[in-house]
Amino acid sequence: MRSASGRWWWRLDPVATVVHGVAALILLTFLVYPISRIVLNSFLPLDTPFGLGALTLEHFARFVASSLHRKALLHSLTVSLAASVLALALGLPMAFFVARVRIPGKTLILSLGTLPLVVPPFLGAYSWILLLGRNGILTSLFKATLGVELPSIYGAPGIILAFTLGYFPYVFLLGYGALSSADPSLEESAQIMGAGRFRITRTVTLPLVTPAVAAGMLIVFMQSLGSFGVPAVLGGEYYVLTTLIYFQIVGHFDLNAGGAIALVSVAFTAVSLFLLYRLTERRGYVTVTARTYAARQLEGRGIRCLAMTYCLVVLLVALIPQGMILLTSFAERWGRGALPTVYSLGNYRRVFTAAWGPMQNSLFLAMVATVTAAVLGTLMAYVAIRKAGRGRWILDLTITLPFIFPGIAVGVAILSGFSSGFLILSGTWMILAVAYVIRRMPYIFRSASAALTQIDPAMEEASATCGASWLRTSTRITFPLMLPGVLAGACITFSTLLGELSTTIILYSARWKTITVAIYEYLIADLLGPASALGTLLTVAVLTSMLLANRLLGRTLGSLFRMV
Amino acid sequence: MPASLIIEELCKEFGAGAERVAAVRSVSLEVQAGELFTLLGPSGCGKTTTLRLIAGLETPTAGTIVFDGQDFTSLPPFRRNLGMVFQSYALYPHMSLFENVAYGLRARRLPEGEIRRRVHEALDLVELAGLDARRPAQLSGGQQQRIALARALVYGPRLLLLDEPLSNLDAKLRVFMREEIRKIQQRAGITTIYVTHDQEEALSISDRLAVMYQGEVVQVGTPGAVYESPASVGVADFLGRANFLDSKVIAGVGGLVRVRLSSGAVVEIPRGDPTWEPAWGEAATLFVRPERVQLGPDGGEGSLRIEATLARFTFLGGIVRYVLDAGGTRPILADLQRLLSGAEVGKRVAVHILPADLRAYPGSQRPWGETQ
Repeated sequence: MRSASGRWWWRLDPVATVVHGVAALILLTFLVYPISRIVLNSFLPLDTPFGLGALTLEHFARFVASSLHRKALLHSLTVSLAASVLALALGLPMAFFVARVRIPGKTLILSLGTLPLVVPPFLGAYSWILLLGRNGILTSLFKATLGVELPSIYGAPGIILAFTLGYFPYVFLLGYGALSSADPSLEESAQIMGAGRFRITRTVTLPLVTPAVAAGMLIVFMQSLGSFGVPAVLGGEYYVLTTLIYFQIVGHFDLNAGGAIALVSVAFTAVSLFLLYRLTERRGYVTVTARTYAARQLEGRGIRCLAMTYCLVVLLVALIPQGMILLTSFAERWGRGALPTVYSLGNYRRVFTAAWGPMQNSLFLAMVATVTAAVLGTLMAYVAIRKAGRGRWILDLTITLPFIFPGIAVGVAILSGFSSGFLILSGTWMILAVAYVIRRMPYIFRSASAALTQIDPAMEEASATCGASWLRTSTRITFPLMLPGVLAGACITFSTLLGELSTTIILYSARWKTITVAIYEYLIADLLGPASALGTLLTVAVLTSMLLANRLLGRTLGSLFRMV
Repeated sequence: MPASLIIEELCKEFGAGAERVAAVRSVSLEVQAGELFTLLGPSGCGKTTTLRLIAGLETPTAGTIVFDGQDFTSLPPFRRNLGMVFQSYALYPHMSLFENVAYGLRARRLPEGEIRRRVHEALDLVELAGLDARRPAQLSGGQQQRIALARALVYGPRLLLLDEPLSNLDAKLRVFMREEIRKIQQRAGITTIYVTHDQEEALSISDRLAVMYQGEVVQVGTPGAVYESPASVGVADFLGRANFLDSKVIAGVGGLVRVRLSSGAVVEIPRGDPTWEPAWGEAATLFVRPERVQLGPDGGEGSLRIEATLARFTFLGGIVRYVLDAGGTRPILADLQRLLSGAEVGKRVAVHILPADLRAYPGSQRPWGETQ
């Protein structure tokens, strides 16, 4: 095309060069630079300027020397692994029941099953204290009626419980996808060849869904490893890597030591992510397509009852936290009973006066970061896919780098980069916005790339052959076609940013508190009513944004979470 | 030869209440032992559902299936001892070719040595020996097809079912593979039911075939009989190129019917639909294959002569297709072996058709595509 007409050079390349340049500048300043700083700093003692002789392994040596560090690492791995295994135990049967048993209300089950992913998990964590804490409703109930002393919710059990119930939908949704989309003739042919149901399950069904389910487990593992809110609320003295980072930075003001811990957790996430890519690569299994019959549905009365009961019980338990928050938010007084004694809107009135600032901040920051991430992410996706050619992987890799950084590590990196040096942003809203954009741009980039790869380049070429300039083609053809994908990505970004705590907790300042920080502070101060009222408002905002994304894409809520 | 598979008044309905749809209305068939029997029809005619009913993958709403004296109707699929090749081949992506082929033998719990021997025999049969360790994704479409066949035959099933096995191959390979399937089927000597919507495939591969339409069997016979004497205008049109001429019935004469064409010519023509009782004045549709149409100054003894204008002609490799305008609603097609000397578009040409090559049908019948 280019060789055919010299004018293409004039139309295309200045734009590509400018976008390339801007992209490179932004990525270098706000991504490569802070990450390099955190990597370098973690090899430097506190308050020491950079020098080759100053390099030290002392921060990493603590993982050998300090039992606090050793334990935190061990705890992180324990709770994350346990949560992954339990998420499998909880999610896989549910996936099977919804995909393969004739039960009513499947769409509703899928939507409700996604809900735990929508609501920030640290909100739910607190309601488990209300239920199972030292003076929790269920704890008292068990003591009074059965004389049974429930084990303490603090530490590993509570964290594992909150992670499992908060993240099992990943296994459920991915497993459901694999089970419902697998070619039914694979199982039918096994039947014809004389295999019984048990043999088919063991040799055909399970091996086919293993990659998807394993991917779900890895996502649970990574999310658990990177979560700050849940262990902060439920951990107590039980430190994990994220809470240890927080402790180092906020307690000891030792950014370098915090960075070293963050790097250790990045290493584990990186390995998980690598495994995840290997798995999803292998998933491109079936090559031949044919009109197939929908997956066979089990019709037996027994299995249908079992499936329905199981799904209802799991959903009920998983949604208890949301219910508790809602109930608490309207409770004026709550005695020792199972239900509040006096209801009112007092909590809401209180937060509207006391937490008005954080609410505004959250909306402002999420809005600014979403728009910026959407514009930059879309432009970079366009460059990466249509213009970058062989350099594409560099762009791809750089932008998706934050994927392997747990939220708190992004916070540490941004703080390392911009609390000193050539650009000082700490204490301003900018530092939060930058961190948000960096963290969420990969998602927009991904959904915009996906939207763009589905657009036939011939449409753009057709526009060009009709005499449209590059600008006209991109504004009239390319971007409108990408828009639904980008907008849906933006809605999800917006809602996840509203509920963001892991990065914010490192970067916020007195003037720039967010709604999540406000909730966290209420929780720490034991002010459950206002915390729940804010939590309910947050949930409503997040859900609205999610449903909007849902509408834009015309897909189920569940499919929005297929991040891989 | 004894009937091996006997299907009686088979019916299958899907859905419930007002959304009930009959995929198979009432199908009765007899398939002989060792025969390759094809179910042919346009999409949605119920051929695949019939095959799945024979396989036991669907339960019939009514009717019976008996195979070699054994009632199949409510037997689960894994007890029927069948082999089946699916349209998608359904090869297991997570298993090697050896394990794919061995699957049915393992389900039968044969000793390891026996499994090894029989898998290698089956791979030899489909000429893919030595590829044991490969995965299905590493094979070409044709090779996948052979593995699916080997996997279906390895445990010595009594009946082989093939569901559109060639639809995922390109045109050239399709022709080659259908010869291969025929060869392998003959070598194994196994009774086979073959489902396809491709009439050329059905005609070339089958011992006998059943043409299905809207959940019913419309005609059963050898490929030659069905092609030459289709039971309806629909079958005639579906099985290949067809010319249809309008005429009026004068009288039925035994198995023949005397008709008058629009040109005024009167001829006696075999009835295509044996159930038809023609009455005077009734419209009749006459059918002839393009390759039976002659052009030129004189046709054969007693041939029907129609004056027409040459509208255009096309080379199709082996044949030349002439499109002629005889004043009727449709043009007449004539497929000739060679170029007619002096053929020129717009010239008058005499068309000759032997009455024995024509078939007459009630005028109310239309090709399937046009009735929808």
